[in-house]
Amino acid sequence: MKSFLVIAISFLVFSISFATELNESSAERIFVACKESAMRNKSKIKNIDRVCKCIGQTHLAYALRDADKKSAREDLQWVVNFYETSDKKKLQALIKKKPLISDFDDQVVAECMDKSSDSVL
Amino acid sequence: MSNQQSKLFLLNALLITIFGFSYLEAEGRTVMSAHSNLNIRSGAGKNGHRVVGQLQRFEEVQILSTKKIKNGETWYRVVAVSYRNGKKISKSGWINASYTAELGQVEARESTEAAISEVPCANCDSNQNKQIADFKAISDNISGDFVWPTRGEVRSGFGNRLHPIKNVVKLHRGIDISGNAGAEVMAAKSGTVVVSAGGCGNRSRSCNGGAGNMITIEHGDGTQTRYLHLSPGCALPPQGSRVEQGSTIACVGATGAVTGPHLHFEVKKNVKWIDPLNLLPNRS
Repeated sequence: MKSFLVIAISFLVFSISFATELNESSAERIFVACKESAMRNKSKIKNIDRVCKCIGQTHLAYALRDADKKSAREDLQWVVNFYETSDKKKLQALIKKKPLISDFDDQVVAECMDKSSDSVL
Repeated sequence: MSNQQSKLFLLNALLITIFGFSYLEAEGRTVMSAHSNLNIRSGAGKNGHRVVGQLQRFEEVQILSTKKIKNGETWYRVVAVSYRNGKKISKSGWINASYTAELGQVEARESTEAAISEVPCANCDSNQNKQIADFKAISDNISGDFVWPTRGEVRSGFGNRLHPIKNVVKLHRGIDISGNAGAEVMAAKSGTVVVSAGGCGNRSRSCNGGAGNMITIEHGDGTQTRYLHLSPGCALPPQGSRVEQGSTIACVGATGAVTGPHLHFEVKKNVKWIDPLNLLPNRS
C-alpha cells in the first residue's frame, strides 16, 4: 500500500510538472529569453516584443497539439533551452541534437517576422 | 598570387581535403574555389535559383564586405579574380552574394551577371590537376541526372543561415519547396526505398522526430534523397521497394515540425549533405 502511494504521488508530481511546462509559462520564458538575446546580440529587428511574443506563443500552440506526447514537452523544452542559452558552442550542440526542431524554429521566426510588419533588419 | 594568398589557398585546400569544408567569414579573406566550380546563381524566385555564371576551380572569391539581409542570412559583397600561373587574368564585377563554405557555392543576390571568364586548367600545376581529377571523380557520379521532386518555388535554400535573434549559424540541410497539400512528390532519381516512415497526422509536430511522414531513397551511387513532411493522405512506397525516377512516391503535406505544407528535400552523399540545387536542372 505504501509503495503504491509513493508511485501514485510520483505519477501525480510528474503529471503536474508535465502540464506546467505546456502552458503560458513556457511561452513567457521563450519571450523573455528571445528579447534578451535580441538585445545582447544587438539585433536590428523592429517590433522585437511582438516578434518574440509571437515566437513563444507559436511554439506553445504547436506543442499543445501533441500535449499527450512526451516528445512535445521535450521539443518545447529544446526551444526554451535554445532561447535561454547564449554560449555559441552549446547552441551548436543544441542545433545538432534536434536539427528539425531547429528548422521549425526558423520557420516560426520567419513567420513571426512577416506577421510583425516593419520587423525586417 | 602573393605569398599570403598562396598560404590561404593551401590552408583552404587542406581544410577541404580533411574536413570537407573551407573557411571564410571575415571581410578581406580570400576563398579559393579549389573544391569545385562555384555556381553563381540568382536569388530564389518563382522558379527557384538560376545559374547565372560559374567560377572555375582555382579562381578566387575575395570577400570585400558583408551585408545582412532581412531573412537573417549574411551576404558578402564579393569579386571573383582569376589567376593562371600566379598571374591575375580576369576580374568580375561586383556580386552581392552568399557563400556556402561547406560546398563552395556562391549565390548571387542583385547579381550583376558579371562576366566571369573561363579559366581552363591546362596550365595548372600537378597538385591542382590532381584535385580537379579527384573532384571530377566525385561529381561525375552524382551530377546532372536528378529531377525536381515536386512543383513549387524554393522558399528556403540549402546552407548556413544566421538566426536573426540568436546570432548563431545554422545549417539547413536541404531545400524547402512550397506546395499545396496533396501535390505530387516524385522520386528525384531511381533507387530503393530504405526508409518509409508514415503514421503521422497533419497536426502532430513531433512525429518521427519532427520529420513527419518521410521517405529515404538510396540511389546506389552513395547518394540518398530524403523527402520530409509528407501528407498522410497518400500511401508511401514500402521499405525495400524500387522506385523509378519521376514516379509519384508521395504527396506534399504538413506533417512533423512545420508551420505549413511544403516538401523538405535533402540530398546526402555518403556522410555529407549536398545542395540539391546543384544537382537539379534549371527551371527557366
